[in-house]
Formats: sequence, structure tokens, C-alpha cells
Amino acid sequence: MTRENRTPPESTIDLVTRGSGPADTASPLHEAARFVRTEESLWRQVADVTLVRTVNQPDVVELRGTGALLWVALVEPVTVAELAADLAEAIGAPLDIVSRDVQVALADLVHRGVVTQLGEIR
Amino acid sequence: MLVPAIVGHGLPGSLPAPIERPVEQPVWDHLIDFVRNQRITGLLVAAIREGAVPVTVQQAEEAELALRSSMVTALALEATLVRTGALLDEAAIDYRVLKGTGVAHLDYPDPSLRSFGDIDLLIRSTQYDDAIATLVAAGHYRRYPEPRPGFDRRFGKGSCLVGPGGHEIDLHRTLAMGPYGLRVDLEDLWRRASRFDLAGRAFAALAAEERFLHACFHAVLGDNPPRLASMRDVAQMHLARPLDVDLTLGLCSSWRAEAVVSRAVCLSERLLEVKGAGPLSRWAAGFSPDRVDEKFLAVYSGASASFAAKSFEALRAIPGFRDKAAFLFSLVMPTRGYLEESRQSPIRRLWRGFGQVRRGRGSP
Repeated sequence: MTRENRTPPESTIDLVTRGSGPADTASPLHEAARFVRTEESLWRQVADVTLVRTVNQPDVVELRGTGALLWVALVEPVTVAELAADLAEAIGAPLDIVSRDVQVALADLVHRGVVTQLGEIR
Repeated sequence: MLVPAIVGHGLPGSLPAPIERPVEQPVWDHLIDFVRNQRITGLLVAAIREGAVPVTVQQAEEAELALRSSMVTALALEATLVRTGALLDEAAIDYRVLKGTGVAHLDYPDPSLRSFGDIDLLIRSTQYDDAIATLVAAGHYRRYPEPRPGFDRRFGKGSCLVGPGGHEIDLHRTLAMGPYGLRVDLEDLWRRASRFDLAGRAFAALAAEERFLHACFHAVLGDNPPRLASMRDVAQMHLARPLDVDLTLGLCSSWRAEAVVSRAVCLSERLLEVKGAGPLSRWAAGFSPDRVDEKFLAVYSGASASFAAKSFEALRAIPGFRDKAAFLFSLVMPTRGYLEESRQSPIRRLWRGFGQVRRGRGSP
């Protein structure tokens, strides 16, 4: 049975992945970097859950609640700050907490190949 | 009573389930298995969420879990399609996406409403052998051998290949096996296309009217009995969005497939308990097949339905002596591999088909 990895219950982003473990999030994402859904991503909306994978990686990411909102927001390139601000307003949670959780979730989604960081940060 | 409310959910004129309380769990267990098998889990979940089918919390969760499972499969198949498409593009082989994937993205408001279990591609006859060779070179294998080399390219409906990941890819040459498939003017299928995007790539499917006709073929000439998802496709394509009726009936007439299309429209409206009021529904309700069509339809879904019976009628439908002779020779003198797979002598199969057709004609 493939291992299931879930964001901690205190996280404001609900994200479940199966297979390989989550990304190492020791290095924060650059604040000027923009992120967007990978062109090679395939996804489906099933009730309140969004299922996402890439063409070449069989692991499916399940995004629920705020995780699903994150996926909607990533249809166009956005920065971490923009994402966090939108989500914090949508769910009525403190911006600093949401920013932290968005960083973690986004790093994991980039690690799994379903989200791409655009451009080179100097 | 519950099933029409599920499979017809969202169509104009569809009604909610005529029950006020959730069904008992044993009934539900049977229903969820049935829904999975019929590939209508997306419609069930939509019907539940929109209040058309009362369920318990546990039943709703089970339905969503079933749908999530079928959508994980759908995503895996779409990944296979993207990779397969890349192989065929590199080999300069034209293709059209048929059935499941294309229909889900082009004909349903939400692709999660349509489950599917394999990939179907239409390939030109002139490129058919090359398409097979391309996929075999990439690690695929034929699930079933053809009777003789070249049979599938000249006479067959298509071939099933299995990819390295275990997924099935059906390469179609025409829209049905047997006489109706042989009547289709294959060039009609390549003149136009509808496009959809997957993983940043553009894919071509049949154009809307051709796609509807294929749905009718699949519903009436495919699985016996037909899957409810196939019936829903027919209704979805002509009730949820207007078709060019003149073009549709023109192609239908050109392919001499009026009996197939009228049966598909009438059957889908009856099974889904929806009543179409447009010209296509009125035409279908008023159409009567002639004896030849009744005979042909019987080998697909009547008492005489079988591969052998379809082959027998296909022989009658093939124009020209040379092609008839080649078709017959392939079936009477197949390769050793084909014989081992079918486990029956070809002459015996053809004779059985002849007998089934004769018995079918005598049936009420």
C-alpha cells in the first residue's frame, strides 16, 4: 500500500499526497518567485476534492478545502504573498499563519511537479 | 426508478428520484456496484449533491470515494493518452480521440461526470499497420492476434493493445465491427474535428455530429446489453446541446445507419426517461427499419448476436468479389496464433454464425 502523507491538522491548507514523502521545506520560497500549475498537470474536481497528477508521475495529489482553493488560484502565475493574502481573506485566518502554510504546501506541490516556479530569481 | 434519475440527471426534462428517504444499505451496496460497472458514478455524485437522490452521510461518502477512484483511473488513462499521442505524432500518424476522454471533455459540463476504462483512438486505414508497429516498438502488445496479417487494416473494427503500464489502448479503423462498420465512409470521419486540451497539448476528436453518430453506434452495436454511460452519451450529445440535424441525418443516410441512430435515440430516451422534443427525436420516433436493417441489428443485439454472426453479415456487406474472397480466406485460413486464441476451427465458427443468423431470422 502506498504511503499517505497529509498536511498536519493545524495547517490551514488541506493536502494529501500518496507515494514519496513531502518536500524538504527548510529553504523558504523566494518572495518574488511566481508559481503556476505545471502545463503537464492533469486534474479533476470531485465534489470538494481536487485530484492532480502529472503525465509522468503516477502519484496523485488530493487537494481539499483550502488546498483546492490554492489550485484554483494557481491557474495564473502568482507569488506566495499574493496566494497567502487571497487565501487568508477567503478563510478568515491570520495572514502570517496562512503564509507559512502556503509556503509548505507550495514547496510540496513544486517538488511533486504539479506546480512550476517561473523565471529565474536573481 | 432510481437508476433513470441517476443516469438522466442534469438532462432537460430529467426528474429526481421518486423516493423520499435513502434506500436501505443492502440495496445501496448493490446500487453502488451497479453504478461503478455502468460508469455513471459521476452522475450519481452530482445527483446526490444536487438533491435529486436522498442518501445517508455514509452513502454520500461511499459514492464520492467511488468517483474519486474512477477519476484517479481517468487521470492515469489521460497520462497514457498524452504519452501515446506523443509517440504517434513523432511517427507522423494521424489520429482522433474517440469515446471516453474526448466525450468527457467536449460533451459534459464537467469531465468528472464521465468515467472511462480505456483509451480509444481512430487511425486511418492507410496508417493502421504503422500505428500498431509504432506502439509495439514502444513496448505495447496486441491483446488478440488478427486472423491474417492485414485483416484489421482492411476489414476490422480495430485492435486492442496493452501498454507497458497495463492500460488498454483500442486502435479503431472504423466505428463498429460487422456490416455497419463497413458501411461507414471513413473519409467522413477525418474531414472535421473538435479539439480539447490535455496537459498543454491539443488533441483532436471527431466533430460533434460525427461524435454523436459514433455514440449511437457504440450504444446500439457495442456492449450487449449497452452500458448506461453509452446511453447517456447519446442523450447528452443531442439533448444538452443542439446538433446540426441536417448534417447528422445526411451522414446517417450516407452510411445507411438510420436504423442504428433511430434505435439509439429512442432507447436512450426510454432508458433515461427523458423526452426529447427536437427534430432528431421526432425523426427517430417515426423511423422504421427495413428487413435488411432488422437482420443486421439482430446480429449485434438479438438472439443471434455473436462475433460469428457479425462476420457472416459482414461478408454479405463487403462490396466486390475480391474483397469478399480475401475476407473469407482470412477467416477460414487464419494464422496458428489466431486459432490458438479462438480455440475453435474457423469453418466451425462461420457455420455457427450462419446458423445463428438463420435462427435469428426465424425469431419473433
